[in-house]
Amino acid sequence: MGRLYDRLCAAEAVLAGTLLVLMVALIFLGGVARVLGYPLNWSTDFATAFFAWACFFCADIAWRRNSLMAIELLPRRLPDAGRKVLRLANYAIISGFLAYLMVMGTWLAWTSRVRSFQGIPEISYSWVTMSLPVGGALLLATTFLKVRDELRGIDTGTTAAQDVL
Amino acid sequence: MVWVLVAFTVFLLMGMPVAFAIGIAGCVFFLQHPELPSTIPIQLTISQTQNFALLAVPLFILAGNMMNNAGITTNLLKLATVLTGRLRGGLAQTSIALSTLMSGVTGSSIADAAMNTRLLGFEMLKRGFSKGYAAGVLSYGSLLAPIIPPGIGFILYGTVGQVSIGRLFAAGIIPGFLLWAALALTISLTARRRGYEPELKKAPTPKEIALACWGGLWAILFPVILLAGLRFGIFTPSEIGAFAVVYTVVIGLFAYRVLKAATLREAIEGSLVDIGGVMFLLALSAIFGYGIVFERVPEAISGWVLDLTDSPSVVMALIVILILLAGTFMDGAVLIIMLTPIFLPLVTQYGIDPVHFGLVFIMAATIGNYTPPVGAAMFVVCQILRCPIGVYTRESMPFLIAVSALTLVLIFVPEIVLWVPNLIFGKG
Repeated sequence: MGRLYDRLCAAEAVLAGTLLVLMVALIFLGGVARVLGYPLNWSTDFATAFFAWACFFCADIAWRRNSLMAIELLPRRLPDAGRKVLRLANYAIISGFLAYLMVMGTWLAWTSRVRSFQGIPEISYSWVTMSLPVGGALLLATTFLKVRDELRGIDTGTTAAQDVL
Repeated sequence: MVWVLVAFTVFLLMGMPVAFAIGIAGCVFFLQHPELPSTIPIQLTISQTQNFALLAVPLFILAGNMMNNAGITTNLLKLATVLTGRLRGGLAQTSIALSTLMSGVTGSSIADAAMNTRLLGFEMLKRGFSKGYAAGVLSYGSLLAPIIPPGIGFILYGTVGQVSIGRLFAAGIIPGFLLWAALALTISLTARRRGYEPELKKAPTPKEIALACWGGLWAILFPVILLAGLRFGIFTPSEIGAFAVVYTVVIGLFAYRVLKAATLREAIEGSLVDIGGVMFLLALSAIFGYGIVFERVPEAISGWVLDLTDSPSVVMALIVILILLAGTFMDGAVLIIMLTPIFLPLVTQYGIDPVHFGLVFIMAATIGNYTPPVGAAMFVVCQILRCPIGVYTRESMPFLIAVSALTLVLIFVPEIVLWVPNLIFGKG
């Protein structure tokens, strides 16, 4: 089970990186083609579709590595036991939210499956919508593992500071 | 909306990651409004990832992470040393000059701060700079990255507020150089008192200067190509991120010939974590934003402020103070995403140019990255140098004063900001 999950994590990183490179290639090609007078109307559509998937995969990678930014002013001042309770409370709330994203996201993808993606009739918009419930499931698995570690007495302390500005 | 804010504050205090706090607090609004379909938060989150302009954000992060491996940093460091070697303050001056040069290719202050610190931090300590001072120089120097084009802050603000990203980029040029001047002057003044000597014993020869300029040429050219490309419509703002990545790879492979497949892979892997943090936050912030618009919060705040004063500069100064305060514990990107929809309608009612406001706003929001208790750039620099936050705070004070004073000047003299965009793109 552990090995399988490790493989899943590795695949997730490879997939996210590949999508990122594809986004660069598609957008760049689209720009070049337009300048040359042969605009490709599908390149940006595919790039944004990949973007949705890459976004949630990357979110899961960041969550697993404790790299989602948080404010730790209060938790830092608490005793260890208090911090643990607070962390478990966070994980509980987050799990509820992620479960909602999974269930309602899947439902939305199912009910809107006839909606076509950016006017391309062969491709359903559900391919984009599904990125959220799938991403939510991955994030939920990561959250459960954090809870398990926490219950086993491993400190899963939240964050590293991070910002892009 | 009150309960949304309460929930958001409670979650933040609990130490919940900001991205989850924004998304879950945003959902509270939908719990209060059961008449709204419960799939709206899902649709909002996904539609945010389908915003073509926001695509530039992950791509810029990727480009920034590649710069180091592409040989750009090394060449610019040589140039910065030659240019500032004779100035009082030695490596501190070089560090600020390097930030200025690098900011033409990067758009992220946190990446710039981390890179500069790894490159120059320990060298500065070896030459006798005090830890707090070195940390101050290294972190505040990175304020240049988002101000000199390109900058991720401009893309976020321009996308959220529907403001021309080309004009915003152009608006950053003069304030960027003023910022460099302000920081260099602060170093000169403080270095005299602290006895920090120039880095080079004698002035570089014209040949040395010419060689260094030639080496850094590809990097210096980038912002020029960028603005020209935007001006003449060769590429759109959303495409510049992809362009930056391709440009970096091409330079690294063919001009400097140092880029390898392994380092390229490393840069991509490193970017995934950065991108995840930012994009997840952006995506979930759409849930939060829905309630703000639905309940006409900007209008309410506008009405309240309009009763208070009718001077545009005073309004802007008030907003900046608020942002600086919020910035001490909130992240710059979050501030831009959350507050642009609230403040932009307000300032436009006062006839303030959205480009002028945008620049001042981004500057103020980024300053928040350098101030305790919470500041991302501060954390990174202090972590690498193992500098206590208290020491950093005390010794970086001159830089905080310098950048705050410059922000004040930019508020009251909009021409400094607007001259270049009006020149390049015509009067808006």
